[in-house]
Amino acid sequence: MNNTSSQNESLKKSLLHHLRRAKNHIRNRLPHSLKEKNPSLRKYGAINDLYPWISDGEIDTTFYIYNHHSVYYPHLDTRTKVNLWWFDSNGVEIGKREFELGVLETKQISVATEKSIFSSPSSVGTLLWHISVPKAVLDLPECTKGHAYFADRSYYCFTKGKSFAAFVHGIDRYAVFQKGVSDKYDLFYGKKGNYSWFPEIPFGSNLGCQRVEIITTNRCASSQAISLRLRNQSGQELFTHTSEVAPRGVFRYVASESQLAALGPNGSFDLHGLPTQWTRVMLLMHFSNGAITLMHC
Amino acid sequence: MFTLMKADPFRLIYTPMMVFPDLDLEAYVGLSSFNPKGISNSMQSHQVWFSVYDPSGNFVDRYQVGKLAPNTREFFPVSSLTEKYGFKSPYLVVVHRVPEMDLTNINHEMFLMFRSIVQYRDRFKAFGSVVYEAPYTFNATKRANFIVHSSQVLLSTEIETYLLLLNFTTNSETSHPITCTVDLHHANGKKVSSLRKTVPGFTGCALKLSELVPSASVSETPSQFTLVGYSNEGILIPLFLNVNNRRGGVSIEHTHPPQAYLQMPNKYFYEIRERAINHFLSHKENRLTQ
Repeated sequence: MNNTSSQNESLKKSLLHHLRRAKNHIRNRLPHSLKEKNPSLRKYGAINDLYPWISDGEIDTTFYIYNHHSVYYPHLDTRTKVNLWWFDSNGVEIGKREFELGVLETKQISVATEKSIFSSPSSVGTLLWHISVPKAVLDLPECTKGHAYFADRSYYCFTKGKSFAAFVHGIDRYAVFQKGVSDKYDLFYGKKGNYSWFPEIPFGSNLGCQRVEIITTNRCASSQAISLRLRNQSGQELFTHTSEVAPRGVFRYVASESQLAALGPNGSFDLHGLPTQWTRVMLLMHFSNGAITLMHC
Repeated sequence: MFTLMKADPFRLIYTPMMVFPDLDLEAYVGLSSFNPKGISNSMQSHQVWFSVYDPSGNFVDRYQVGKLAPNTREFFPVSSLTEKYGFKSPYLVVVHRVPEMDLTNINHEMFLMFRSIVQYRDRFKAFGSVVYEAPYTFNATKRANFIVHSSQVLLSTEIETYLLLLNFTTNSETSHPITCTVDLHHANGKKVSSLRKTVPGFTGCALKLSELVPSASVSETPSQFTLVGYSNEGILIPLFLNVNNRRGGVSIEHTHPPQAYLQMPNKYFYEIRERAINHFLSHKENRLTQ
């Protein structure tokens, strides 16, 4: 009896193994356009995020645009160019420019110094940049045959004077630049979704912050009503806020010290109506000693 | 009782993290009994356990430190809960969440996206936090390599950046010291300096990056550098910690592995990664050893 059972189990495993191999064999021979569900990823090129920024006199934002192609292709000439597009909090373009980027070079872009090119004054907004895939890389088989996409998972930094700086990485994807084209892009996400997010951080008086800013952006093509709920430890909803966020626009809510106190030590917050699954949020926390910190959650 | 299960209960949801008694920072971990999508196992309670390793990487103890009720979140003070060992050098703590449920035939995929908040607090009551999760198997094969790059290095007379490197594996049989090289580059791309550092298994270190640049490069105005780190001996977990020791202030962020940058078939990806690592390893100018 035991032998029969063991033989059956072995036969089942072998059958599953061969089925899996056959599936992979077939899949590997399908054209890329049939394998790749996202229509924006059926060629080759670069994927970039949409980054929020603040430059309000107290907080400034600095972007360190780094030639990551030089790390992966150190044997090639990876000199390239960068295009920048600035948007205000409603997603309206307020400036753009282009510059060269050398091998392993990092360009430091501070919003406070870029404001001179803005067509209208703004203290909050978003930034899109695109590091063109270097010519020497575009010609490689991973691009022409492998449908390679180079995602720019960059970091940016919120600063307060010269003393305080806090980094965070880009958390999602926004634009897909196909092949060597740098002046237009497809959206990574097609139609907007409607997602919720329940950050794990105990949120309330335990943080000891003077205030906490909850920030995110809309990476879809249409506007979205994003709702925030602040709860105490029992899950009771104490504060709510809903804001209609334009495409490329910014959601920003400031939880005050008294609100944090009201939530108690292990309160929480959750977000609803998020346009993409990975929208998530930035928390910009202000401390009584003047320090700031930044985290995504 | 944990019987007849497919998955190790202490590996279902775990977070390796370092405690740094020498940096004057208190370590905390924020845990929840759910994932942020809010739909998986939110009604489950969890036991919270710590596995503690000494500064040399020897396993010391595993014990329960608390419990998370369903649908709750809480910070646990890792430094004070492990203070009894009296370690003065950096040491590793692995934080485990063990679901209180019948663990027979449990599949670890049920606990994907169960992340932890690793937090360091300074004496000024400011803190920095980073969120990450760990896969069911990590660094479990002997043949592995890694490359990391980041622009998060900011140095001034007030601001210091530490590169945290953690050598952790879910397979103690494959644990071994990993030597990695860290190159710092000026904003113009020119290499400033290079350091080789060996990190023994189940340990970690905090590299003080101001020690890698000429003192003249550090002034009141923060200077930014870019870091490239690599090894063909295994995978280290790199984190960047920025602190203001004079006025207070902490910021910490993780990095991304190369597959987050290179979205392409594996045959190209592996070739690119290996070629890049070998290229950097062969360029030894300005290299120090620690």
